[in-house]
Amino acid sequence: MSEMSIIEIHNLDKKFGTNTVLSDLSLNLEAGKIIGLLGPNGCGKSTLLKIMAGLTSDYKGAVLIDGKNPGQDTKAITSYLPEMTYLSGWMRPKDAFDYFADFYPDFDRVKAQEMLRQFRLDEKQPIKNMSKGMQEKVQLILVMARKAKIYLLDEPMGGVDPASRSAILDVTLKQYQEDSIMIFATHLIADVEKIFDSVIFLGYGELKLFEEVDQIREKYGKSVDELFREVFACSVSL
Amino acid sequence: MEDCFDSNTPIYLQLVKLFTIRIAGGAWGAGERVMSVRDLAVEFKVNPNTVQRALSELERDSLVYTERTSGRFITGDVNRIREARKNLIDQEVAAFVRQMKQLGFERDQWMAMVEESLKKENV
Amino acid sequence: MFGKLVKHEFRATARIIPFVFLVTIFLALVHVLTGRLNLGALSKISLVLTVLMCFAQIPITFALLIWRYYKNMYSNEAYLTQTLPVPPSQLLWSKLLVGYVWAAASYLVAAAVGFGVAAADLFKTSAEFRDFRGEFHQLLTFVGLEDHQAVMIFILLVLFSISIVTLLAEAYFAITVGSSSKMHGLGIGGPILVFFAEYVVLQVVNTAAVLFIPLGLQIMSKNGELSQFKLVSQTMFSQVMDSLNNSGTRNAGMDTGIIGIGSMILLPFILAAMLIITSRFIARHTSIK
Repeated sequence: MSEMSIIEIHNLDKKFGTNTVLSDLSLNLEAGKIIGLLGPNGCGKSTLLKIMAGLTSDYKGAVLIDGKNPGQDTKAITSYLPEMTYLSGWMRPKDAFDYFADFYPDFDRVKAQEMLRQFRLDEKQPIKNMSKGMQEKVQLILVMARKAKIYLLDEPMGGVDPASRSAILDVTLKQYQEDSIMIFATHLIADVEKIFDSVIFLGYGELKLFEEVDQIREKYGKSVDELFREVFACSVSL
Repeated sequence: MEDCFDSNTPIYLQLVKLFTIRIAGGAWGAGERVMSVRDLAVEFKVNPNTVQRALSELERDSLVYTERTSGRFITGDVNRIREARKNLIDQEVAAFVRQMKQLGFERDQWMAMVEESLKKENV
Repeated sequence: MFGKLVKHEFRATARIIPFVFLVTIFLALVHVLTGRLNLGALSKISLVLTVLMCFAQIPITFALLIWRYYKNMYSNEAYLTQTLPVPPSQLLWSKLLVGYVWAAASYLVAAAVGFGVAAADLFKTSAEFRDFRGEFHQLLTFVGLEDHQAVMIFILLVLFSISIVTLLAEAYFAITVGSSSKMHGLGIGGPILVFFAEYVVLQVVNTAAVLFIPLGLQIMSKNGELSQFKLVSQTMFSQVMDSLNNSGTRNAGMDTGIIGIGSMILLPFILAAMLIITSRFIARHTSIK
């Protein structure tokens, strides 16, 4: 059964100055999947996500999101969660909801408020008064309260305690839809590999592997985490 | 729940076993509706497609069937469930016996240990 | 979408910029009140501060607007702003519009406070105020504009507006081009570099326009007094060359000079070009770190 790829990448090259960040990358990603984007830090994961989100231009090769180049149309159907805090310090969750409701027709305010309650956060507390973990949760809520076709998550569990990580995985799984794709960049592989359909190993800009999780276990008799450590020969995978 | 997965066998196979245990042990009753794929994915913290694949396996094994309009159900065939239970027990026993042999115990030894253990737990 | 961008731009900037105005107004009130209450020293200090604020308010406003543009478009907030499903040009225009409103308000508040304080201080009675108005009217008559107050005010407003838009456009251009992919490694140095380069280029272009575009204001004076001026289609450059060549001869008591106003004609085109280029850079050469 082959579905139409919702994301197509053809021979993507991206340099920053003389530094090659992505090298001849080609991928076809189908809807209805949760994909893990794995690789050492600084190897191009974030750049790849930014290109898909429309935040980085001037690359060589083709990137097609639902058939179109990254731009206004693809931004309407893409929900992107970056690593850093992008909300203004003065904003409260309520203000962020107003903002999203204004610009994204697919934003579900009721769902956002419900998730806020579940995470026990206050709608009226300014972002600058929240801890990093709380800020990340608010941003996660904003991303997940949208009914988008493409979800791009860059280290969503970065500064968060293990209990919250579990909650974030729950939110991610609940968000799953058959006509959407979720791309999850992380280096906390062991916690997370069971939720992926397939994983992409990105090694210093190059595609090292693109395989289904269960295929990896059958073929190599190892978990994704173990295989990752081998492929990237690091002694510590956080 | 998420901790009972080992790291080098395919997840869907492990799910098949977990689901079978639930059916065989009665936690999922005969004839009952199966939880949705999404709910199972969240409960076990695994990918929904993997859950789907496991359920398809169970269908192949006739432990689960799909009614076109109403959804997925555990089989009502009590014999089939009994059979599944027996298979599971056989597997567990075989594994236990293998382990005991590996540890160097004779049959009388470990039979006695089993009796003692049962007495302690008042089973 | 444009309306929403404008709305949210106001929401974000209204948290800070009006406070600057309030400081100025507050100082002015302190000055007037302490004056009325005869607290001499306090009144003088607050007058000095008020005057300082009146002058500082405008550059402060511009600095805040320019900082806001950079922060919202190219710093952390860019992850939100630049992923909005809006035409990239609207990001620029909405910020330009809101920036213009605040800058214009800043001029108005500074002027109003300035006149207000002067009026409160200098015209202790309404009779003195009427005298002042009379003198002001005489001044206008002298310059030949007594019938054209409305026109004069209108021209003043237009000139201020153009200068506001020009400054903002120059800043936004520098920031956007300076933050584009090719300038990636330079960080904040990118916009600064572009601004200097832009400044130099604009000065050169404007000087050339003033000298070489055949449109100027010819001013003729007789015995040191202004006699008339009119529009001519002669370049300032040629007139300068002429007068250099004819430095020996002079019309009896008549001096002629041409001030090239070609740069004013060129200005709208330069502005348009900068804004269009900025818009294209936002659309095609974004590179958010």
